[in-house]
Amino acid sequence: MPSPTPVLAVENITKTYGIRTILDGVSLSINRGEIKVLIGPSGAGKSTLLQSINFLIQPDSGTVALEGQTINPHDKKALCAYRQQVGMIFQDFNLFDHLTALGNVEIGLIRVKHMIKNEARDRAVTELERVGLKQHTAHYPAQLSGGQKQRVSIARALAMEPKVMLLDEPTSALDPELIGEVHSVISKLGEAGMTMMLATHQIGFARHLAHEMIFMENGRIVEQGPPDVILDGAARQRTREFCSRISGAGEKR
Amino acid sequence: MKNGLRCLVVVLMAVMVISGGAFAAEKTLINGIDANYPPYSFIDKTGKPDGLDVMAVNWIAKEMGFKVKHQPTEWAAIIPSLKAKKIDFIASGMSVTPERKEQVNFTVSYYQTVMVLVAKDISALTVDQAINGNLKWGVQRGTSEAKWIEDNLLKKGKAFKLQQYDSAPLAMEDILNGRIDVAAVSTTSAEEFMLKGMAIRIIGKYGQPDDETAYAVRKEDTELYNKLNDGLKKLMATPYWQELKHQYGLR
Amino acid sequence: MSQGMTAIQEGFWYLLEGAWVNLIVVVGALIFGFLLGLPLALGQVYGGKILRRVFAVYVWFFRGIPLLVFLFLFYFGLVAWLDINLSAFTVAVIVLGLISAAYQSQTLRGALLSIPEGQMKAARALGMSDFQAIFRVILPQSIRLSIPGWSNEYAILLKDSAVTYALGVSELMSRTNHVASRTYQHLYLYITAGILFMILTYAGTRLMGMLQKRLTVPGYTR
Repeated sequence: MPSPTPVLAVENITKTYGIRTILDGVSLSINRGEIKVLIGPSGAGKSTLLQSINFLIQPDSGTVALEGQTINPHDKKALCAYRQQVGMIFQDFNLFDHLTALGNVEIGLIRVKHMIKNEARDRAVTELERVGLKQHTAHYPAQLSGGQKQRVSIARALAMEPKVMLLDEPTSALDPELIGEVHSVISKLGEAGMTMMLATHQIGFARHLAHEMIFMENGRIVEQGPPDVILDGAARQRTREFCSRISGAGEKR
Repeated sequence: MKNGLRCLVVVLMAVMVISGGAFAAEKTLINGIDANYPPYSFIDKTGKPDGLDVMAVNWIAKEMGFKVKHQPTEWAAIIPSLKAKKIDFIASGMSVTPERKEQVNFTVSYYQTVMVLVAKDISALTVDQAINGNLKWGVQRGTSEAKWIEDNLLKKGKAFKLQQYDSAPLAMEDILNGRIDVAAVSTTSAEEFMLKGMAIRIIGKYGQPDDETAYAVRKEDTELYNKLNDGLKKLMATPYWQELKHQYGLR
Repeated sequence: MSQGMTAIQEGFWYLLEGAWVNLIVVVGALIFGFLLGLPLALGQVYGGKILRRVFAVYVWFFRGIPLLVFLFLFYFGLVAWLDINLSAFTVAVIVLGLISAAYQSQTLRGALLSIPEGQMKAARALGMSDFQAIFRVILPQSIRLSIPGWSNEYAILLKDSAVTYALGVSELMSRTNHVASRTYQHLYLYITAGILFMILTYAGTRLMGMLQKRLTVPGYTR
């Protein structure tokens, strides 16, 4: 059976700031319905990789293809069209502070998808319900807890009907007691078949969610494979060390 | 720099286009006046221009068949305003001086202004003391008297200090406040001030030749010059002129 | 005393009309200054190197020259040289607006720069163009932050507008002089003018305060 065209294929991405190499020729791809989790020490380049994939950070070289179509980041129109199809979740939420939860979800629908207002509103309410925030549609970001903010940002991304979601440490800015609600939303997304690439330090959660884990260090992919293999029997010393250091590697399923 | 200038011009043009409609109205000639120069020109209780020159110009305009508007203009900038076509002529007690003659054309003279020094009414100063003492003088900025005093007294080594004011009444205020000792004004103004009850007195002439007073017109504007000149001559031949002078306290 | 009160009474409507002229000049200059200051600010924050340099020169130029010099330069210099018919009032609005644009652009620029980078990233990630991101996300927040600056700008412009009497704009200051020259009640009339200016300042800053309250988003304190 020929392998299907990946939803997203990243080829040989590099990024340097001055003399520091952040990404050193990273390649990976993800198929429909797959969930890949990036792990690795801080500064390994996970966040830069995710942001390079939708060109929020301009990589120095390398290509990104969505469903086989290579993206030209200098073609502004094509870039905007591409970004609509790639949902992005940030570590610190980046909700639009001047808009309510509803406004945050609506704005992309109205301004980017040019949906009429009523439709956009209905759609936004549906998405907020989906992340359990029906009662909070009229609240401003400053009136929401961190977990609620992150769920709004997930609803905002979902409303655009992305083909793939990139989640950049979605819970690392949250108090421990708020992490669960966000994890459960992400888990549900996974169960519903959303294609996702997630960077996290929550190894237990990653083990439970991931189809494949990717261990990054110093801007490179060091090792990748099924969670059990990476977490319990990693071939490389560095990966093993990292996994045992971080949250006791998490319990087996 | 060049970009800044071009930017300026672009903005200007835009404003012109926007406000262009406002200038389409029928051409009214504009008389630039010093609205702080009674009795020649000032603003009355109702906020309208009044004064000898205002009334005289109104008469001339009617006689010669043109429309006129009296535009209060800062005195120190009144000749630049005329040359920049912000105003069309100046009928506001303006003295004829050689320097001004180089810039503008003057009509026939309609009044001889006698320049005097005034001081507080209780002051015992004499003109001689004022000129040779170490005193403070006041004068209105941009006037013929200001120029004359600088050229003929200060540059010839007199020791007094000359304080310049935006208007003659402000100089009067400062005499009363004691900030200056004397001020150079026309007898017309001085009499007007005293009539209003200001505690000042004329101490005498300080040597400036009598000024001819006339209307000023742009040099190239001969048509208007003729109209004003002819109109003014006609006016001075009527009894109304004597009435006007009497009404505004001029002899 | 009674003479002073009579002078104020007689001249009151004339002065009030003058205050109205000041207000119109200021509001006109604020609006013109905003319309010009906004692209200046955007250019300084998001523009290329050359644009940034040109705009910085504009700001430097218009902040560096005293208002009166600029009024004369414009009214008797440029306007006369270009031989166009602009009233003193129009020139006052333009000149105050040009200067205000320089100041307003600096206020706005500061506000734009204070919006966290993540807001721009989030907008782009949704598929917004840079233009949309700026106008739908960054500016609405920056403008809220700029309102206190405008309040300040209004008060400054109001005081600056008194200087336009030098062009013969029939505003409060020149009218006060007119009445004083006729009645010789300078003290009383200048006090009246001062009070009118203070009332205008107070009313304007209150209005800005109300605007700020209206636009305030709960918990939005940056």
